[in-house]
Amino acid sequence: MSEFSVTPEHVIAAAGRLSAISGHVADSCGGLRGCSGAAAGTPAEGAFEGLLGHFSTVLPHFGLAGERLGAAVAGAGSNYSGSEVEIAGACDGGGRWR
Amino acid sequence: MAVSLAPGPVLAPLGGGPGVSVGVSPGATGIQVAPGDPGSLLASSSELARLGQMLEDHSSTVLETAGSLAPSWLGQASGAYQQLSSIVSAHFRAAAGTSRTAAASLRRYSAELDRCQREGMQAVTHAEACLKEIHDQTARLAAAQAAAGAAQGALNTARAQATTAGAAGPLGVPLAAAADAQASIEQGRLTSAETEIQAARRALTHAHEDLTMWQGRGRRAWEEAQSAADQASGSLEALTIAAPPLAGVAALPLLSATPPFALPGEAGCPTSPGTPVEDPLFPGLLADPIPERLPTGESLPGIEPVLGGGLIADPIPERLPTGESLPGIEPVLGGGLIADPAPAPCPRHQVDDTGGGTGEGQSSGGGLGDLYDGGKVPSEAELHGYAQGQGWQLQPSPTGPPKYVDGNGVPRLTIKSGSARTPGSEGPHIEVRDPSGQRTDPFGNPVLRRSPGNHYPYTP
Repeated sequence: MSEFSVTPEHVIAAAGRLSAISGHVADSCGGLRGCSGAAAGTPAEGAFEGLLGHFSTVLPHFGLAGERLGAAVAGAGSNYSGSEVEIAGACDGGGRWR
Repeated sequence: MAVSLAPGPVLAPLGGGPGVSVGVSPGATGIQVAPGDPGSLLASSSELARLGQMLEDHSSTVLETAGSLAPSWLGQASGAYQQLSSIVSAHFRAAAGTSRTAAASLRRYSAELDRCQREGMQAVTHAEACLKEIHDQTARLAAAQAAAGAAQGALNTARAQATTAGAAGPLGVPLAAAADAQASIEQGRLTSAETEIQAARRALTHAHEDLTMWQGRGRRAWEEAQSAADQASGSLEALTIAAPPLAGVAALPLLSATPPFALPGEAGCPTSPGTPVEDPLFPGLLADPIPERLPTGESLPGIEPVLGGGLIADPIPERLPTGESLPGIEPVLGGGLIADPAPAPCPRHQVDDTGGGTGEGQSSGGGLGDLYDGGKVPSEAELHGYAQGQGWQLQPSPTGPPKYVDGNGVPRLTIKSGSARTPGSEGPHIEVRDPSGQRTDPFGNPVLRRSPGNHYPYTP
């Protein structure tokens, strides 16, 4: 059995914070792409570009992780909230389900 | 000594912002200034530091968000969410640390390169001054030698005239006196010229010594820049970040271009139950056939043929009973935090994913490992041919080793000539990475940077 006190604004804010991660990660990926060539001509060029390539490959997964986590929280809040409305309607009352 | 002074190299400004790349090829001075743009490296360091801060902030965001929901949300789904948040947060924190390490490494290299370039340029400037001094003093010496020659000739002539006049008797006395006076003047000129010659020679010797000293300083600055670059390369190549798990996706290996198992209908996945399969990488370990009727009873506990060992196999009903008084819905978090179906694995055969699942880096099927079969050592041309056959692009680098990158920018094959300055990596060898950037040997087995498996040889 689970227990969830739904405060929609709170859940929406929480989901929003998590979903915002992907945008920030995307911005950072763009910033990193701009760094390409910074080590041009040096012996460290290969290692540097390799690191950028690796980061470019993996970082989007961090954004996706935040997005999916945010969606999960939003989905949970929505489902619980829906249940509350459903139950409130069934009981003909307006109390909060807890 | 004849010294020709070639036009000096055009010197780029030092310590400039991004885009200002210093690099002076050895010209008349014989000094090479380390190439590279410290400003761009520093800007990249700042970018990586910002990335690290952003990841650290979001590590906190994920944890704090989970913490803020914890008091009002209890139960199985909440537990799963809290646990996943903790794991995701840890991934963000680890990646933040990696970014900060990369930033620090680049900052150090930038500072050291800047210092070495300044010293190198200073050496070039002084060496050019030395060359000019050598040029001037050489001209001075030549002029003094010419003057000494002329004075010596005039002196000889005057002395001969004085001797002739003296032999003429009393009539020659005035002429002899004039000749002696002239000889005295020429002697003075000769002495001055010889003094000038000695001074020019001393100045030349000094200028040559200075030139040698500045050439040595320039060479040291270049070597120190190379050493700093090697250190930065070693640090950067060792860094890696791991992707966090995703809500709604089972904890399967990520970043794989292909599933880590053969799907039904694919090559390597038998079509009939019970068919023995030979695993190319770990024969016997994962190749046992799974019987058609799975032993799931109490008498055979612990056998879980579903990928993930039960992680995603527990059935979670769409609607859970929540008690008589609240016969409503017990939703699964996010409608799929742990309930989304994972890709169905082939029930017969699992293979290791280290080779990328496409035959790359494996010991059979046209992989890189084939080039080393039976103790063979491939030629450099064979390695280039293999990389080009994979569709990888050769990354142009005037100073670095040939490096092939895939479509995602991951350096998949680096053909290194080796360096006497790097113990253990002296000889020609290759470095291989899988699609996720993990170092592997040619057969697809994970290796570390200093592992022997990261140093498979080739014939140049």
